[in-house]
Amino acid sequence: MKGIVFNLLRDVVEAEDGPDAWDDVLRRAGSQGVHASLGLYPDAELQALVLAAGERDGRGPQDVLRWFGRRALPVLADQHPLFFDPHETSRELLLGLNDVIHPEVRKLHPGATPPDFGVELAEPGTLLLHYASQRRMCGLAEGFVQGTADLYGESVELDQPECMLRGDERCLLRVRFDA
Amino acid sequence: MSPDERIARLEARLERERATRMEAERLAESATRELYVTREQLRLVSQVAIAANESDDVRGALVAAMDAIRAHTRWPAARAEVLGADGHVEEVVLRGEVPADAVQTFELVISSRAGTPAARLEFFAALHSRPDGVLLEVVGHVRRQLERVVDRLHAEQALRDALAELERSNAELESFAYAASHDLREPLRTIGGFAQLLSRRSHERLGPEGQVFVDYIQDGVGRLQSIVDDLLALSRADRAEGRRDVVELADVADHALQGLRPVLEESGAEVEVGRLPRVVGDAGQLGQVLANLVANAVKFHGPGRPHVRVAAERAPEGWVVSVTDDGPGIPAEDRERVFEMFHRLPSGDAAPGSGLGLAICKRIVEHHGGRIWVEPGPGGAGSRFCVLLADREPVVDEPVAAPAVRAA
Repeated sequence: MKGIVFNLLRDVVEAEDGPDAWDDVLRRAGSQGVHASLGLYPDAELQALVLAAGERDGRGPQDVLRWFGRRALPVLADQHPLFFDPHETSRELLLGLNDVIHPEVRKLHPGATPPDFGVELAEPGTLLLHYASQRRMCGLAEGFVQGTADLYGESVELDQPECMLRGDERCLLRVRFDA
Repeated sequence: MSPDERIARLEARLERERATRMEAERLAESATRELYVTREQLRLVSQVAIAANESDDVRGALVAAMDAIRAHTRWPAARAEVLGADGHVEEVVLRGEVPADAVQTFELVISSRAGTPAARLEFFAALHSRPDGVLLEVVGHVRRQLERVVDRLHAEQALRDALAELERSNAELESFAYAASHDLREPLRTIGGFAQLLSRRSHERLGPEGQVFVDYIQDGVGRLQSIVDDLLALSRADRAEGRRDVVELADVADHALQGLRPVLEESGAEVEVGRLPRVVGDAGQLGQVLANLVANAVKFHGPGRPHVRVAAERAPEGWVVSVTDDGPGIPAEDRERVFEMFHRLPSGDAAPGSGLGLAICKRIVEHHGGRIWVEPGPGGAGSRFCVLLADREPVVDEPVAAPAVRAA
């Protein structure tokens, strides 16, 4: 996992609870906390940090990931406006994930392995995102989608009719816009 | 939290920030190095591709490749052997100086598409310089480029050889045609002469049937002589350099029509000649073209007296001189074939001629750098033969008026 994700988690935790909270998370996770944005670090270290962040207030890992994704999205938008400025709605941005945004991520962060989302247009006002990754971080994906909607001042409803954490082969995120 | 604990935390954060900064710098250096290496490799491949593609021979392409690789790797020397088709060494090319302690770093064999080695490259470096996998991959790209260049150059050489052979063969054929037609004239004159004598002096002894046979002989000899004369004219058109003078086409037309006077009088043809320009060319050959075209136009005429029009009009590339008749016209599918040797139109079977007249015109016009074609006449009736005389040298002057109408 690229260092930028670790740094986003740090930024979000410190923004919510201050630098002492991040110190605490690092200590609980046993992490040195040295993460350069362009560096590559073990997925397990991020998982440990997410777990440690949840333990502070009794939240499970997926809840932490949802919260993290939603809070991190505005930070990402601030750091990389080029990904967001061309789009006027969250639906537009999600439709461009695989073809526009993730290729640009790979250019900026060689070695990054963002997941490939299958995007399917369902009934009007609804998008289906197929997610299948060994990392099983569908919660983070949900958080990012929610954060995107917040960024564009929209309201969305999210659910997962299918989820790998429930034994399904893939995760299916159903996004209803203008809920 | 006690002050000491606070200080400890702050120191820990400071240390984390410092370590992160150093890590970031390390990554940046690594990325910059990688970028530089990749850029240099791309530059090498691109340089070799451009230089090799612009080379006119294998040696040039090899020199470009050797110099580019040496500049990239700092290897002091390279040696190339250009190989012939049978594998023998045709040429050795050395670039740089081989140091005394140098070893051959690696060898590159450039093969043609057929798989035969076309060149062998060796690079020499100091003992400690060995190519790594990445460099070998880049050099592999260079090898493939060189092989494409070798294939291209071989193909170009094969084409040149084939063209030279074709030209030689054509020259031989032209010489043969000239010699054969020249040598055939004398025997034909003998046969024709004696057939005439036979007809005149032994008329009564021959009887009616014998006279018919002699007439057939004379007719056949006449046609053969016409074919031989035209073959000779065709050969001369190929062999002659042709003069390049400023020629009054009006005078050329007048002279050509003078030569056709018997034909024009016999047919009662009316030949209208418009304003014709001055052009650059051979007066004799251009006269032959006009004579052939007018003779054809008179031959292939509509009902009543033949009516032929000779005219000229300006074109972007020069002048288009046209000869228009009121004959049956030429079907679209025959309009290119009429200029082939011995091609005769269905309606032309009844008309005398060797079938070489238009081929001779085409040869002469092409030697003048021009073009000849046929199109339907005005209103789709008859034929309009057009000769484009190209502006290889500036056309000297505006058209000069020629005798307007010549009636037989």
